[in-house]
Amino acid sequence: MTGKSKEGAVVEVRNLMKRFGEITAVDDLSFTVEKGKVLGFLGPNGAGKSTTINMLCGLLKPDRGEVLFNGSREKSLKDRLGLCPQEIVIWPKLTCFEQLVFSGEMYNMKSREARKSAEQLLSDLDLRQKRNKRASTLSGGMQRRLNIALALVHDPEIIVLDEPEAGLDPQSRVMVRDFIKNISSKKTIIFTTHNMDEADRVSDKVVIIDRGKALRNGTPQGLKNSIGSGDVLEIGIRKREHYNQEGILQQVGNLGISIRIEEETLNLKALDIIRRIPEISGIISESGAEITGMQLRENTLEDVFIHLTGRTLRQ
Amino acid sequence: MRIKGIVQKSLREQYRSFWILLLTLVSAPFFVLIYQLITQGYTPSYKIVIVNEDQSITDSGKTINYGELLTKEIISMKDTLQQINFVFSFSGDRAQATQWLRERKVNLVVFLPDHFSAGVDSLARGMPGKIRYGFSGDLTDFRYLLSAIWTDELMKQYLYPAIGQEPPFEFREIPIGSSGQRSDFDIAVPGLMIFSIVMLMFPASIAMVNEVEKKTILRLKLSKLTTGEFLGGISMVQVMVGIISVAMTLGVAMALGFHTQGAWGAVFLVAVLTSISIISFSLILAAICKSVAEILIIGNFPLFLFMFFTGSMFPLQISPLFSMAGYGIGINGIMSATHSVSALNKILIMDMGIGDIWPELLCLCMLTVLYTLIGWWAYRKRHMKVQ
Repeated sequence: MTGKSKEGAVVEVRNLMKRFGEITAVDDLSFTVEKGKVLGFLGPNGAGKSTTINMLCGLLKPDRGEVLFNGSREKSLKDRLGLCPQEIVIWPKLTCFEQLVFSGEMYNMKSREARKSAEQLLSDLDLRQKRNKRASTLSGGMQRRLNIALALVHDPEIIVLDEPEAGLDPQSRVMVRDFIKNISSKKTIIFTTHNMDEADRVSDKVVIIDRGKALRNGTPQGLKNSIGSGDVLEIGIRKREHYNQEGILQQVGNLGISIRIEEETLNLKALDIIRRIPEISGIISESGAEITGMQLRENTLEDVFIHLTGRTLRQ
Repeated sequence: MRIKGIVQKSLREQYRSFWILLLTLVSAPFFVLIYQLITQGYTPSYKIVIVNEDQSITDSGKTINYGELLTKEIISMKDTLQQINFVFSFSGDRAQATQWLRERKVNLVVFLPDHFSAGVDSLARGMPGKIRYGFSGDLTDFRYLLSAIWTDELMKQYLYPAIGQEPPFEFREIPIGSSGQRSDFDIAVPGLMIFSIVMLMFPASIAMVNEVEKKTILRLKLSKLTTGEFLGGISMVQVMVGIISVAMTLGVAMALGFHTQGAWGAVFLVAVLTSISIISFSLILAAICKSVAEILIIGNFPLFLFMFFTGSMFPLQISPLFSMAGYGIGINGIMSATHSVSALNKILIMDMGIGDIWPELLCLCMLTVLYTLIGWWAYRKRHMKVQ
């Protein structure tokens, strides 16, 4: 029934496709996740990340393709998979502890085991002090953490986190990031994000998705390297009366430097670009623009996305 | 284990939704209280005015007015009707009596015309003649009908001997159970008890749709929980609420003077079956709706049907479409509460037992199964199934 799966892959997604009327939300998507690895699913809003996650979890039937777990198409993965949805999905009238225990029991955990797991998660996610508080009384950040805890209480083998850092304050974000890193040694994690920084820091492997299609996948570093080595120089400019954008594009391009212009920012990328700054400054001044600032940085996953789509992740 | 978890969770959510629970539990007892305050334990009475326009006749120098004699006789005879409270009064003013009818101050006006005595006298002498009298009232008012039947009976009991004949019949009324001694309040109580269960429609469907609105149904779908366990767990809690509500309604009614010799086991059985059937119906409502707001809007439609067309708020007579073992089932028979009201009336008013209400119980069970199947299928398809 199933073809040979890739070696070591816990999850293998093969040619997944889902249409909603005329819109193709996921189009021939394939990727694999190895055991004990963190897969970041990076793409802008509406790219098809959540639809893919829903098909992965069995909440949505794919129109085509299949999802293999450990090389086989299993009917029920319910107890092996934990989903933290993008929205906060909690029982507002139950306390944190009550709902974690309830959730565990719904996966056939014995009450004692569910209670133990709940206590551990409350402690790990810094919710211990809110143990007996109703979920509706928690702050947004705490509710997010509880949302994550609910995905983990039954000790699933694979954890799927849909935008886990969305709506978190910086402190909670660091905590969640560390928590994901910690559990990744024991679990296989798939998470979606449109935050390149989050994907870069947390993932062992990243799949870049746009308009339902996987554009590229690989390690964060591998993806960054794939668009060429070198640094990125961002130059802020103020346009003058005789500003000549075409002139800048042509002359900088002639130097073998890749250039992209966004409003009043020039984005240049080349090897050893720092030594060519005087040359570049001259071209900008001659073309009727004044330099207001400069920033040198390494390639990011956003650069990879832009390279692949011509758009930023926020567009 | 999972169903126990659902019951525990549902119980917690139920008592933490304090206002919804309170409203569900106190609505019917409050209605009972209000109803009692309005009727003040009032026993139904039937007010009859006799307008005597009869012209006296003279027989052997003696003046006789059969109209007056009749009215005096009726007063003495009405005491034999101990189970029905007739109040007779007299008037010589036809217009005034008609006005009282219009103002619903009386239920029946009896007109004795001017030749009433002449008619009685002719027949008493064996001569041809006719005794004429007239009844007037609101023909849609059951009190008029009852008053007219009994007054006519009393009049005939007087008139046959007056014309020298033995009455060719003897009429005797035998009330079922304690129905003859029931006040308006007593008659309303069984319906209000069922109304208290009908009120479950909202909290039950809200409990089921809450998971959809808060999207927590997603977590339940991902877990090993089945649709049956989920809906069964919620239903158990709602049945408990229903029984408490019925007990409170009955308790308040008894504290306010309602008395019954009915079988308590049968009352409990009807209450439990009705609760289950209303919860099953709520399933259909929860399957249609996606939010509490939708329940509150759409739910009003079936609630009004259950309130007004099942006999729970007031007695209702609907032509039966067919009958089962003599139990007539009308168009409103598709609502389970219709059979519950009928069953409770039989138990509490007519002092009947389980053996007498089996057609109602059968209908209740059949409708409960029907509602459950439709509701379970629709809820699962709409809210629990993978799309």
